[in-house]
Amino acid sequence: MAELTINPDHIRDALKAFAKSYDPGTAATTEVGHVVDAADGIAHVDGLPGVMANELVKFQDGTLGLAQNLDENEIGVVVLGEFSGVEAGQEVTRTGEVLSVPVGDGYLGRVVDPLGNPIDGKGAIKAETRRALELQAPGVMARRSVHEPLQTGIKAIDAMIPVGRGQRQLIIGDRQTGKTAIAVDTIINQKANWDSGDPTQQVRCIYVAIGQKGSTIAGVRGALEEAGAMEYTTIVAAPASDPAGFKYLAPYTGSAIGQHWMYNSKHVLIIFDDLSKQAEAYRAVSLLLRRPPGREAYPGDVFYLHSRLLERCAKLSDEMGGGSMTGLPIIETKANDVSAFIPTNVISITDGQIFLQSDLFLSNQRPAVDVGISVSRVGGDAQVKSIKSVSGTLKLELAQYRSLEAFAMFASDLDAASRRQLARGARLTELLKQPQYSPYPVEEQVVSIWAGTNGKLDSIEVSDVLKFEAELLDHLRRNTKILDTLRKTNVLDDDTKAELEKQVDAFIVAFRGAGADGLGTPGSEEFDAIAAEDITQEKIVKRKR
Amino acid sequence: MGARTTHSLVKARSSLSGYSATSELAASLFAAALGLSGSPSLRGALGDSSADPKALQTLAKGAFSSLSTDAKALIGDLVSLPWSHSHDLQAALEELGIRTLADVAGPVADLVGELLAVSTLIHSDPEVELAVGSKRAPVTAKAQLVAALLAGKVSAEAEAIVRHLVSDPRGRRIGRMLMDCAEIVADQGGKGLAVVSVAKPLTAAQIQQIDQLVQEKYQRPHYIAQQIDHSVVGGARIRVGDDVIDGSVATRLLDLRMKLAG
Repeated sequence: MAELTINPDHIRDALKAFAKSYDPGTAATTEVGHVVDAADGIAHVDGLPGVMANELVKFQDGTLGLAQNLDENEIGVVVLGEFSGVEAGQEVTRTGEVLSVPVGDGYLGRVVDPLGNPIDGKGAIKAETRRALELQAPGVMARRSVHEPLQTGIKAIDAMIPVGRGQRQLIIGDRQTGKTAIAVDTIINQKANWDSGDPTQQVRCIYVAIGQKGSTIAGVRGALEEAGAMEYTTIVAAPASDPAGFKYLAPYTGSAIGQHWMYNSKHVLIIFDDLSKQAEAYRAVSLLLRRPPGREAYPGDVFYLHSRLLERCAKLSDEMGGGSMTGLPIIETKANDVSAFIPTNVISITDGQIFLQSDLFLSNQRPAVDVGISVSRVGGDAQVKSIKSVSGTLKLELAQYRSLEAFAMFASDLDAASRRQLARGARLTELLKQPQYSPYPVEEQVVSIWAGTNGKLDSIEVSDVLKFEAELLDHLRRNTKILDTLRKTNVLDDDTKAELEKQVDAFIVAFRGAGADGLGTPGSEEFDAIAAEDITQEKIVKRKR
Repeated sequence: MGARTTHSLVKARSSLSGYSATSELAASLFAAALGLSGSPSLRGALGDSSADPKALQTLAKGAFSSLSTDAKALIGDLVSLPWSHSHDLQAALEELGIRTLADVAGPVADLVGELLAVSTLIHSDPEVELAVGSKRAPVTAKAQLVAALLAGKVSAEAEAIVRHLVSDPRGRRIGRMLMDCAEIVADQGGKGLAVVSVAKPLTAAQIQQIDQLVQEKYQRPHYIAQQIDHSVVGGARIRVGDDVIDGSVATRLLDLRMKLAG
């Protein structure tokens, strides 16, 4: 390595030149106040009569704060940053700026903190402009109904709980049920859209991590980078170690970055992982600001905290450029209780929910989507025609299967129709299993679900369903143009259906002929039974001596 | 401060001009304020703006019967005015007491300068600051401490004000109280208060320059109070109410240091 030595005189001269370039300007009048008390990331400030709500104030050591409570005699300030330098009696000055973050395409592929500063060590971000954090959501006339699909790449979701661009779809479930996995898969599934280079297809993604473990955030980033999805993704990170003020602001920062793209006719997907931790951070801030606690000690405006955030996810009208921001908020429940305060709030705000059951997850049904109570209120209009045509009966059959399954637990003898129904349901359920980081393109989902709902899997062993599916898709990809046709037209017409039927039937015969389990699983050796005539029996013979 | 208090204070200040300013009147007003401090029920009753003003005047007359006639009449005027909060009546009594003493001292005396000097004195010794701000020490002990510290060094008016402030702090800090008090005294003389922090004493020409600057900016003459503070290094830092015009070298150095730190 080349040795680099700099003469201390040069350093001194360079610093002198820098200091000379400093222009203090003329002394301007600024409003000042004084810190009355400071504790737990909150400071009460006396003075500053002209301060605005949500205005940034500056402490003497350069730390910024957010004016929150404008009381009669003092204001409550949330300290944004290093708290140890703030002490009683210190001067606080107004900045005249309402909290805003820099925004622009420079944020793609970056990891930033809730103030928009990069924390990934890749240097400064070139911002196009700044955007205030607290801006009103688009009004009624600026919107239109959700009509374009946002494919998550997950069969269970795209078929039965479809998400449209501009929709707010809640992902809710206990800890360790795969909530983040669904969100990350959805981001990864946008890779093909991004690579197409078509701005009407491309989706910019924002992953807002609130109160997550640093290792989890690093894991998400690693997964996105590995899948090549980081180039169109921004991560706003407020890990568990950040002060409550940062955790409360992070979703608004992510939303501001996304809104900038949305108003510039781009499509955006934003994931809030998770809003229950944001609510907890806001509760901490509010209690420290001495706001009256309400139910579960949350402040009175905790509903508005989430409603104003999620209302900013919208599908804009064509006059406004037609951009969209799809929101996937995540809520963590305790013991699958969706009737707790924050879950019910967010369920009522969003356009549907994907409910993840821990029981399903533990019984290896992954993604553990409970299709019975998961709904999408607006996504149906945005669903691609081909998948809509095949998924219609899926939900119904699964519902019948579930009710029958419960009944079959107590009855051993069932009629043939019920047995068939049970067999079909078991295969459909198996078909909806999908490993992590492997999103399916929509045409492959159509073929899989078509095969399942049309009884093509009935003759396949349940344990072979996923293997059959993978081989069938591979066969169709190599030998036919069905998948290409479906991808281009997005319609499952009669001709394609007939061709698909022919191909699948032929493939079933080949699959079963080859032996469903091929060479057999390791450790299982089979021998032919000995013929009956070869079996001899020892006889007791009495000998005469 | 609520809107009703703001209105009532304006009226109270104008009604003060109808009475002759004497030390006795000020002492009576301070005594009345102290009395309200000690009796929350009386404070609540007199500050109840929904009650009949005549009944309130009668109650005040009865409660403060030992005070001078002028004081009783002025308190009667005050209680008949509506207040946003019962504490505001107490604050108004204190303010009128301070204004009376400012009138007694007259424009020639440097009451503002004395009050600011007392503030500097108290801040210069942490033990004194703790003692006068102590919540546990008896009121009489704190008043005696102030009397012992200030006797003969400041005017009787300044001493009376400081003695009252330490007796009835109402949760305020001594520095803040003295600054507010200095502003009231300056306002009674028709001026604002501009506190100039400098490293070395200003020349007469410099004071005039600052006076002119402040008058142009705030459209009002100001009392220019100098505070010698070596930490400003050079230049001046002018504080008017909540506004600060900072031309000090210390701030510029801090600013440059922040820029270097990135």
